[in-house]
Amino acid sequence: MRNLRSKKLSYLSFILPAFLIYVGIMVFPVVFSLALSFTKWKGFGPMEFVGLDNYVRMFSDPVFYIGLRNNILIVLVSVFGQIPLGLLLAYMLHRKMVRGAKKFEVLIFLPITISSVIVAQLWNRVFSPIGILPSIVRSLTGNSEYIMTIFESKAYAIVPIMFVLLWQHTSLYMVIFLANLQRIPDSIIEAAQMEGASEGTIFLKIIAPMLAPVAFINSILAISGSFKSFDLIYSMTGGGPAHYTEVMAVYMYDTTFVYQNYGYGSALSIIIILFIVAAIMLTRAATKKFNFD
Amino acid sequence: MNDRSLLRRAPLSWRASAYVIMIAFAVLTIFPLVWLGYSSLKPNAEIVKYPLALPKAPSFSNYAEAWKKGGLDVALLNSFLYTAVATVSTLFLALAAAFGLTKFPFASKKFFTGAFALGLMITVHAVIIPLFLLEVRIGLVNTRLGVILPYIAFDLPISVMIAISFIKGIPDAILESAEIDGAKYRQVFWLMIVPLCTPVATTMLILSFLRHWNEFLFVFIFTTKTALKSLPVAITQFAGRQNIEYGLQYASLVIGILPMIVFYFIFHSQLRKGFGEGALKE
Amino acid sequence: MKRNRTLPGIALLASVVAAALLVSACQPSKGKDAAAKAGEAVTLTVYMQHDQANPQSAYWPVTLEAFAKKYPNIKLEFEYVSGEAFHQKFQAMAASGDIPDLFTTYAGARSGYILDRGMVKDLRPFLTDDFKKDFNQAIWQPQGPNGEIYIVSPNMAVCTVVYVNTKLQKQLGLETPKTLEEMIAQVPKIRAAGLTPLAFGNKAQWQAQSLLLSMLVDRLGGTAWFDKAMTGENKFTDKPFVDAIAVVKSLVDTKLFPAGVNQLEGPQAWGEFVQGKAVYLLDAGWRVSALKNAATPEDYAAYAAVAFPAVPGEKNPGSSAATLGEALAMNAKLEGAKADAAWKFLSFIYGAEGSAILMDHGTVPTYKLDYSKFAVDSLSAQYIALINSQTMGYVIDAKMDSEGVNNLLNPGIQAVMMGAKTPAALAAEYEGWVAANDSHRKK
Repeated sequence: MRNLRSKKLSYLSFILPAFLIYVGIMVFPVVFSLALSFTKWKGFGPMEFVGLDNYVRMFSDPVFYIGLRNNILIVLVSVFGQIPLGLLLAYMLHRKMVRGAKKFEVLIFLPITISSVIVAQLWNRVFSPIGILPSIVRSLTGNSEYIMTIFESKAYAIVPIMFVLLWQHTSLYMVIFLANLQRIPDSIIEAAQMEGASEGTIFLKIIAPMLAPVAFINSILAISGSFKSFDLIYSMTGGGPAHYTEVMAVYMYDTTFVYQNYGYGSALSIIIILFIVAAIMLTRAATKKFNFD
Repeated sequence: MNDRSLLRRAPLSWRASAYVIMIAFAVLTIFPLVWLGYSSLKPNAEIVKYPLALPKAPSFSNYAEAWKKGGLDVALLNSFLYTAVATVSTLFLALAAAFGLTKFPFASKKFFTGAFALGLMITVHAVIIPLFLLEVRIGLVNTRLGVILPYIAFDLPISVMIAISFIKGIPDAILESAEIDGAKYRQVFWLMIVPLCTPVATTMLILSFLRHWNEFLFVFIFTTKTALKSLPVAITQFAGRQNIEYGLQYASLVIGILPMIVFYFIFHSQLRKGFGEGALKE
Repeated sequence: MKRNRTLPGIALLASVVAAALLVSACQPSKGKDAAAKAGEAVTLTVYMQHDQANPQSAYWPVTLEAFAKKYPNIKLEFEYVSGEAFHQKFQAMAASGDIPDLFTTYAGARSGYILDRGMVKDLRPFLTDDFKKDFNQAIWQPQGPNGEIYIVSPNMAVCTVVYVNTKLQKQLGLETPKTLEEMIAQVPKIRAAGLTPLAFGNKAQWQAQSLLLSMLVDRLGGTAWFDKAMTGENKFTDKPFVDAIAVVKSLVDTKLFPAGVNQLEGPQAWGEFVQGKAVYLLDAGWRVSALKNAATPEDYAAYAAVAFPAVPGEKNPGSSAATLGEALAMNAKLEGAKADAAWKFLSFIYGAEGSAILMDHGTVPTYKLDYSKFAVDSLSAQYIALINSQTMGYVIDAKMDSEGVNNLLNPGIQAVMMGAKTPAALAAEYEGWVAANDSHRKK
């Protein structure tokens, strides 16, 4: 009996320090946001209880839909772009398909170490109408009025940002895959080669399935990390032009800080949390075989 | 490395496409960085007039001015302090929690694990205002602790998850034998679990470091004193919308990137080892 | 309620301080000595919208140095933040109730989060007629519902000026256009020379509204129309507003604006002008000092400042739009020695001494200086003459609620410029939002 009690005490003494810091810092604000999401409040003065009004408003808010759409696209490019590309790059490096694989590995990893604010500055200098890329195109084509019109397209303005996200984050998944590839014995590939399997078959049918659990963890990282796109988008376009590159986090931030509509901003932040929960649960359902607990 | 195995080389088509992809990635990475690097050595007028040209007379004066105007020395020190304290604290708190959540037979661990997992979904921006109000109430605003505690809290969920998946793989027998020997759990943790966790710990340290080093919002909102600023916050002083002092801006951007590059070169082999042996296995 | 009870006390105290100031103002040399001997040093914390790396900020260290010389006992602790980040952080500070002694405040909707909370001191008790008479009287318009004055605005933020590169004009054989049609007629010639006709950057979204649409609405409708639009007697679907948006759109369609105007940041646009790649620049009046700092002296001497050309149907010909420039305001809680020191600081930087320094650095202050004592360069002289000849309309984002302007109007103007929305549709959307939500309509 006494033994069990002291065991429970040590159990709690291991968990509670982390748990209390976590709950103290994270849970209170989320509960506070949830409460605020049912009110109309401009950050000071009287709070007005408005029930579900803020959530109802979302359904008829075109900007919210643009943000939702762009967020879905970013999750998609994270899960189905960064991760497969990361796997492919890792495989190519692992199989030493290029000379100086180590150097390429370092170069590809570099972007992840740079803060998003800096990355945004860099790419703005590349994409802007007086930036590097339009300058190059102008001197090549002679069209002195060339600009990247994709930034002014409602449907595609988010694409260059997705490209930068791909550039920025693929490397993390590549390194994780690469490390795990090294644990797969060469003999497996050898055996497959003996049986006459092509390189594509080896990659798709043998290596990729073996790394599926790693891919799942990477997906979790990618989905929760896809909201880091806030920093990049906020500094690169601020959601503009005309809300075309809006994502939910940027819209929530502007609603709260710039428009001083704390109620609606809080409702948006609750929806963001639900969105990530849903995305992760979908991923989990898709990769049932992996037990993540 | 004993790679002289029977392994055949990949076919030419694969190697060719590998070169194309790798070189594309490399160019996309090197070009902006190199351009940033040499542009920071040009005076402002030259950057504006000839954005692509190499500097006529390379000079570090932008660096000296940015360093002095931006108070980057203090900021650099603060960045190291915040990052180091938060990273190391998170590591041990997460390892301890993960140990408790995997190796003890209590029902409540399902609840605790679920609670930590939920944290993966909370974004910084969703909580920043209420968190600020909370910090004001308890007097944490404008203290280093007021920055470090949220760093730890936001890093715990992913760190706990990574640690759980690793410690799960340590056989229970180790614990049982220690129990029979009458060892205290605290001793088991420090003398057995922590050393066994070295590979995963490296991974956790590096990931934490990456997250904290570039963090902007907490430091910006929670501190008002110049003495408490971190590097990303100090750098954005030069990135104002009305600002066309590109020279200063570029120099400070390079100052912000350099420590990470150094860090990466020092640790990149450990990083690979850590990811492979540790965290992310079944 | 609580505020009302303390207000008489503050007023009494403040008038005593003001009286003391008046005495010291009459005997400047003696006053200076008294301040220096006043014993205990006072430290004031200042939160300021300020970009240290901006060449336009060059006046500020000079001002501070002069102040420190005159009042060595008043110490200042600054936190500088620039751009939108300033407001984000300040809102968090305001929410906590803990704000510094002095802070940048805008007269109007932009600082609503701090003004509506009653956290800013009404300066009227400090403002003697003697002090006020030396300023452009336009800055003493009421800034609060009960006639409060929160800031001594150091300069009028004139939002629309057209800068002209006369050197390029001569090379191309062009005259400064009187009407918009004339300006548009010059486009082919300027484009053929590989130049941009009218440099402008609208990436940050507020520029087309503050620097262009506000002026156009005033020209086509006038302030009387706008007053009624705020209260709901007029609607934003009325002709003046819709026509003004259509004019903005026409500047894109006729290629007056650079390609990708909505991707260009403000500094990139006037950077193009300084580099001689644009004949005209559409920008605010506060750009004069930046142009002076960035351009070579010969180029700068060839710049001219003119009114935006006439558009068809003007009710208020040749007008511009302006609002009070932002300034440091005082924490409502400041009392006694601290309030005294704070006012010394404010009246120094915005009064005779500070304004002279501002003028030296190319900004025309609201404090009336004898311009003949300053070496006023040609562009500044033209600018002074220009704004003295113009009537000033409202700047929309200084008047209307932030959510409507920032979430609907500004992005909407971009959508119109890119051809994704018609002016009438935007006007209808904005009117719909204002009718349902704007605080002016709820009164």
